[in-house]
Amino acid sequence: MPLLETRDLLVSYGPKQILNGVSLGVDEGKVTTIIGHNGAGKSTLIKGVYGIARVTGGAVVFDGRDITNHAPYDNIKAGVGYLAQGGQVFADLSVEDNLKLGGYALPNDLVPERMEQAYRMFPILDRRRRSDADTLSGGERQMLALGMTLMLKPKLLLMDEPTGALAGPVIEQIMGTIRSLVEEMGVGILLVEQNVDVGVRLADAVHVVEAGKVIFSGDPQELRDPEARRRLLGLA
Amino acid sequence: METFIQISINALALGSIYALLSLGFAVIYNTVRIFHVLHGAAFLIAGYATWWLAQEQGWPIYLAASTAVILAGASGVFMELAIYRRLRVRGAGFLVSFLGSLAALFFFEGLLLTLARTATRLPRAGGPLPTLHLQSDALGIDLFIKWHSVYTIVLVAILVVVVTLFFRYTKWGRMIRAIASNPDLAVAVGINASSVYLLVFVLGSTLAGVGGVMQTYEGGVIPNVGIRLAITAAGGVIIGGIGSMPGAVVGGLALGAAQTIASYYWGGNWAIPAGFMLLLLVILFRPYGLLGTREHRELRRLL
Repeated sequence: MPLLETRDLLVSYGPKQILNGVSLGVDEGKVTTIIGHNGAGKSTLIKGVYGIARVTGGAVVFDGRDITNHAPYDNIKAGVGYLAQGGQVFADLSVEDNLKLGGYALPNDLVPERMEQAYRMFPILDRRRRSDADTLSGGERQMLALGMTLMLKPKLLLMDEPTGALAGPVIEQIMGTIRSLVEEMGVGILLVEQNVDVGVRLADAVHVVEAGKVIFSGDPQELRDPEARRRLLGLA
Repeated sequence: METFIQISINALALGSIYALLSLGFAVIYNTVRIFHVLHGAAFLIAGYATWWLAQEQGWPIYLAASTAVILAGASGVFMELAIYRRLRVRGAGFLVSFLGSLAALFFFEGLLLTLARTATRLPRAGGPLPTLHLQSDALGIDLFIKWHSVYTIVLVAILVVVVTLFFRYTKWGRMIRAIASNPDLAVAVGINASSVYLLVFVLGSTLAGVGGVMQTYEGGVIPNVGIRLAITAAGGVIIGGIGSMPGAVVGGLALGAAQTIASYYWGGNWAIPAGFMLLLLVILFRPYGLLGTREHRELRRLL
């Protein structure tokens, strides 16, 4: 049984239908990548799973339990982590306060230990503990955002474009972190990527979403070659 | 020198009350992002409750005043649940929320006019307040300072410190700052925005309530002062810099200073125009406020 399963997921914003029945699964210790054009519904899929966008039909099943439309707080408690698009942090708060807030749903006594783990994983944050998050570079912000999410030691991680707008070396570092999460900790990852190359390199399974529907599912091997991608999907 | 000290103390006393109102307004505005003119009602509730309990019911003044502050804080719960939460659920925009807030304030002022009429209500026996006489021939000073001014300044200073520490070092304070900084992310990390909003209304209304008690004890309260004080509170926030808590305190103090100086040199009628002239000057020449920064400029666009 997959760690996460979406069954015929429907999400609409007002009268506009964004997801038209998306069914897919994420396995423990595997990366499932969603690729697709802007506005195809990739972010909405993740938000629907996490309970930020309202699901109007279908079901989200995590770890054998129906979590459709559960609030983020309950999902965090159950072991679902979410990394929002664009290195979202609390810009006016210190790095330390950001991490504490990342662990908001944790029991208080676990917070210091998890914070030290986050600092070990991203030593740059350790040196900037007292700095406000808006003084960090784009890459550092993304590491902070990731550190906040990892405070919770999720079993499933929903990642919305973790490498978006970042430069080469930082992308490699983030990819390395994702790999170690999967390989060493067995986290299951649902990854939305605009950067098809990154998404495919990390993926164990790939789904292509277009207009709120999955139009292709398969082995990332088939999509590694840019020529094949263009032929299959019209995606570069 | 003597005049300077006298004006400074008066300015600080009045400014402290405005600072409290502005801080309350800022706590709510920065978090919930509504132009909460109904804030003036918390001031009125505290003022009228102090008068009614102390004068009409014969309660000791400290008990009356504390109860009044609690009632003002509780009114924040009502404002959020009965008005703003409903507006939010219906997707009301900034202007509709503002008009709702204004309508509720005018309704409340009208209600007070009916219940308590236009008379100035004073929660004490009347007459001049006890003063502290400072005289020194060596320094050449001969000053009369109202004890009430001293209490007000000290109390407000303590409250500002307590609120600052609360924001900086408590989990709830962090939650409020998180929502003010990035509401979407706050929800994503699991913070329940509704309960934070409720807390913020209680906190902001309690601060306005303390201002209401202190101001009313000295000069009494009338119903239609609510809107002016609400705009004064907002004015202090704008003068200090939207988004900045220290700014709100500085803005409130600046308004108090402007009013005190104007009324000393040109007469009492100039107090209010001078305060609003200061607000206008800041809006025209330093629109992001005295302590405002780049982000505060961005916040200001929401207004």
